[in-house]
Amino acid sequence: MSTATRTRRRGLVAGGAALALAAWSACAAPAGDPRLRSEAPLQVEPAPSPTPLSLPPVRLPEDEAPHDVLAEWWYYTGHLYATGGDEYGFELVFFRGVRGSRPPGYAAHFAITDTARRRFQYDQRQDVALNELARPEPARSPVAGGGERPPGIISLSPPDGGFDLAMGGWRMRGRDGRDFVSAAMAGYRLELELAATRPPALHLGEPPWQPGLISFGPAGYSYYYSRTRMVARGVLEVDGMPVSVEGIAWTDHQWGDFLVLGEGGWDWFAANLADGRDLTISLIRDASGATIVAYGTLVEASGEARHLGMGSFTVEALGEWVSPRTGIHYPSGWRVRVPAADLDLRWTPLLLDQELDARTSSGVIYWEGAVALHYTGSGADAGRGYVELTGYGTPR
Amino acid sequence: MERGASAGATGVFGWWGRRLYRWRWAAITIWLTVALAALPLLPAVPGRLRAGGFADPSLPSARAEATLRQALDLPANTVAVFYLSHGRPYADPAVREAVAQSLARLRTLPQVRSAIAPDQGSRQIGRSATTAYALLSLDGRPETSLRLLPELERLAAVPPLADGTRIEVLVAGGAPFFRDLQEATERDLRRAELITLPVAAVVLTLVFGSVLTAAVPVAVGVATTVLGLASLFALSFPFDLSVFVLNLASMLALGLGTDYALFMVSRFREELARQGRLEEALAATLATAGRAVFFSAGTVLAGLAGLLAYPFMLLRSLGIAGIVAVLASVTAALTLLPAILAVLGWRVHGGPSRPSPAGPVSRSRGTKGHSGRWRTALLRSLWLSRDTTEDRQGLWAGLAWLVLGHPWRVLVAVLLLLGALGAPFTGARLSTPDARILPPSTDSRRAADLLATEFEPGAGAPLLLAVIAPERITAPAQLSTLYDFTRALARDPRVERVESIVDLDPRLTKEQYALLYARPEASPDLWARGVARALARENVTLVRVVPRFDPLGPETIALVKALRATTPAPGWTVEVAGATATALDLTERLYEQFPMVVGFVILVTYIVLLITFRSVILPAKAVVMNALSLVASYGALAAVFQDGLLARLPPPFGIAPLGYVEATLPILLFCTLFGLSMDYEVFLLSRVREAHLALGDNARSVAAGLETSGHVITGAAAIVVAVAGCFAVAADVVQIKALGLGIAIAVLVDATIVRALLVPATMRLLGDWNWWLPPPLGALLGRLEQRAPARASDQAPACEGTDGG
Repeated sequence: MSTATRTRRRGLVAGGAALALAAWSACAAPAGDPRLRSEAPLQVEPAPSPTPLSLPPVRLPEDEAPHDVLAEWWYYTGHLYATGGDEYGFELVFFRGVRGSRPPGYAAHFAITDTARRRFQYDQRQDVALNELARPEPARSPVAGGGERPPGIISLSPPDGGFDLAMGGWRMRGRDGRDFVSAAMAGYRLELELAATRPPALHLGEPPWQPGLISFGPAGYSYYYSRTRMVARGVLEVDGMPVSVEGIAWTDHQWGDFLVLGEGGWDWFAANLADGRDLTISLIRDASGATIVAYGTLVEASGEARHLGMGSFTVEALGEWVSPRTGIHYPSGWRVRVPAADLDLRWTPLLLDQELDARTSSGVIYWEGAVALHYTGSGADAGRGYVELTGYGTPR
Repeated sequence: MERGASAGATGVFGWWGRRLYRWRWAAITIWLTVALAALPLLPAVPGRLRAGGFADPSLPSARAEATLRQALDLPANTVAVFYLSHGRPYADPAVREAVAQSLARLRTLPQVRSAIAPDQGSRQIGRSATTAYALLSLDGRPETSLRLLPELERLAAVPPLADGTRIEVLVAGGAPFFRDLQEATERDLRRAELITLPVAAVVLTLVFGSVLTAAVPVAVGVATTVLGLASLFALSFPFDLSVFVLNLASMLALGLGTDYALFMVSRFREELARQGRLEEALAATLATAGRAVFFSAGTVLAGLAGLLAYPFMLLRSLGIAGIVAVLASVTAALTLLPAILAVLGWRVHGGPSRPSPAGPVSRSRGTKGHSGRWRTALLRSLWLSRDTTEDRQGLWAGLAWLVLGHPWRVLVAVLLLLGALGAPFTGARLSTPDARILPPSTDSRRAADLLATEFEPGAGAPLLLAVIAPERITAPAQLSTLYDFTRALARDPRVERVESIVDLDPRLTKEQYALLYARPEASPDLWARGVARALARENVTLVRVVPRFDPLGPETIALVKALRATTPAPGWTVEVAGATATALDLTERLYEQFPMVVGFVILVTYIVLLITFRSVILPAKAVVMNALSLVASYGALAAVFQDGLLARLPPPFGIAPLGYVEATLPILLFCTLFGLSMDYEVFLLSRVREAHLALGDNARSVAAGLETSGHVITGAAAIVVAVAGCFAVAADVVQIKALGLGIAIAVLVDATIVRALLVPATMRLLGDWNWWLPPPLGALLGRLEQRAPARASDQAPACEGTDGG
């Protein structure tokens, strides 16, 4: 074989080899992170539970707006009086829940206790705020005067603080105790201007928690403040007939990474006493019905809030009411004693049936109603109040 | 052999040729009757075919699915209804209301078990905010829901909004995928057939130099297709047949039908020119080319029979369809075609119906006067037969001598080239098909693209983990372990996100989950209650893992393997279902059986070739050569369909890559092509052996063999390449495209590189070893050969009939 032939052959072989190698290297797997191709078992180790970040003190009016927390609500209850003397209780509440990266979910309840007609009427709403961030950015959207807002947004953050919620024709907004609520349902339409007469009361959990912060133990924590006495003025339309109303309202705003649990439930009492004081008491029960958390706040006429710890008050149920719709047994009528405040009150529902079946919105059945207050000893009128009872059983 | 064939056709095939000559009109009448009777059945064939075909309850993913179905009533039949509100966000109340009404209508269907609206589920609204989807759970399995789809789509449709906004609705999921696949394969078939028939006719006209003669194989190909499809209709009653059988059967029936007809017509022309008598020419054609067709069909059948070994309906039915197509082809080639040839007689030469005084031989080359110089030159160089064993004549012999002069150089270069062609396959990622095999205009493909662009790459195919705890899953201790497990999952770089009963929100602690699920059915937390109801029962829970990478990509495949190896805690088990796990399991199961199938096909082929060539070396060499053609084809598949080699070409030649090689294709190609391309090897080596017997010289016999078989192999290969190539170009469904391309490339490589370069080189290097046969084996084969003709009334030469040319 000639040298030229050998050279050509070598060239051919080398060329072919180079071609093969080029093709081989072109299809070889890229290097990259070796973990991406690992078939080794995953290492399952005890994962630490998340710990809440530092919890700053309540700041108002900024904290009136929604927060990026598991649960939050704005509650209005109150007693309204028409010029003719008819008395009405009302409840309007917006709930907001955030789970993971899902858009915030909202529920709302509206109820009227019509004592003149012996009628309790309620309605509910629920929606998902598809375009709303879990933590609304301040001044993200202008507050439109007529309640119009971008599609998929229920809560707007007013540039100067406060809150503005609207869903299904219902609305509540406010800042620094100057609030407005409106809602309508079959037979009733309400529009109210509300003005706080006292500074917000920051409820106190067990020390060392700071004012306005309540611990629920393993269930989480909650910020909680109330405007316990607001002057309410507006119009209530009853069966199409508008009636001017005035009265006193109570608002609660609560938010935090807490669970609305559990196997038990809670009783919540709020009273605007005739002597100018306001009182609220919360009892949280476990599955057996035993009270596991109890706290309260007494607001003096001066506006000073005083924490009532567990043991500083007693609550005694005086009767029972059985819902004809759900069969749930609720306590009905209470005696509440706060010795340190020299209070011994009887709480009597203005109507027995003030049960809300809200399973299609917030998923619960509860009793929330207007009550009349009397001093136990004298029987004298002691004011008006509202009571909320949850977790008293499942419907039959 | 030529002498034997010319001296008077013998054997069963010769006898059959004479009978057919006499019964030619009866044969044509029978065929016409059968074809006319079969024609009305053809439109019904698609309706008899089934989608899917990969079900195997013994697969680990199928077991996991069964666990979830049994424990959680997890629907096996889910469709996604996409709403595209062009220009207006889904959050717009008018759009939401319209979608809500659409879903309300859908809920009225008794087959709809549940509907999760876009705003009820997790991340069902796209990034653009104008695309959202709802999830419907249907009764039954996707394969059985195809008939429901028109009604479902009618109810889902949204009328234009008051301001004229149009909301487009796409229905995607298992059932729509199967529907779209079925429709696309039918379209592909119609389109391919429209192209293949004219292309085959053109190639045949070039080969024969006569339109009339070229029409014969086309007519036979059409008849074969009609018979094959009608047979499939009949077989669809006892067997489940896949939607893909139509394309494979048509491709094979057309390709083989015309291929076999080419061999036969070509040989008939030779015999007619040589003998001058129609009956004898037909008998000789049957005794030689007919016999070759019969046995080469046997090798194709052996390959396709390998598909019957699979438990999957898809492959099994493709095997059935292939066998039907081959049987129809060989039946037509041995009955209808000879009858037509008998009727046509001398007209097969493209001239008048009677021989001219110039004699038959001149007629066989008599294309000059009809077609001009250019075609004659082309035909002479490529196609025309040289009825000779003389040395150094023609293009093919010249090429052979070139190779024979430098066998080592050619061998090494060709092996390297084939190695390079096949190299991309070493990086092949095998997987089962998803919606990406469909054309971009189909609803299923659009939905898949939307999921990838508007949502997350893995959103449409999450891993479904059946996590089984030793105790009730909502017990605090089990929740704690599950919490640790899902956190480990979330830390994995291949995981986008995890959905489970302990992944409602990152802020929730183990203690809070224990509180939430103390009585899960009555949990006051609505979301927790719903999630618990859907994802947990007793000691089983479903964990959904959305992968960060392509669900069929190597990262997600590795993740599935890693998950299967993971135990959250002693006593716990994790089973993995979902598209990725199913693709992995199916691929593994397919290739567990593949070596056995390969062994079977090679063994059968080797035995047939051993008997044919009376050599132990040549069959082995033929098997290796065939394997090399396949390797090149496999490499092309990986380069084109996985790596996107042709992605930038303009349509219809541009092929968007899938990112993987469809797992059934290598198997399907092997079983289809091993016998198909072996044909050419058989034709070539038969001629070489014939020449070797005549000349006694290895090199000269190789050159002569290549020369004498050149035109037939080239023509036959050109037809198969053209038919398969038409499917590759015209098809929308990537699987059909890949099948067509794979066949075209393998046959092209086989008919060019292997035949013209590799075979002569190896023949030269092996020298006399080519024909080595151990004496005991030779004696055994000799006894067999002596015994076989002894039973026939007229004997056939030992090596006769292996050559169609």
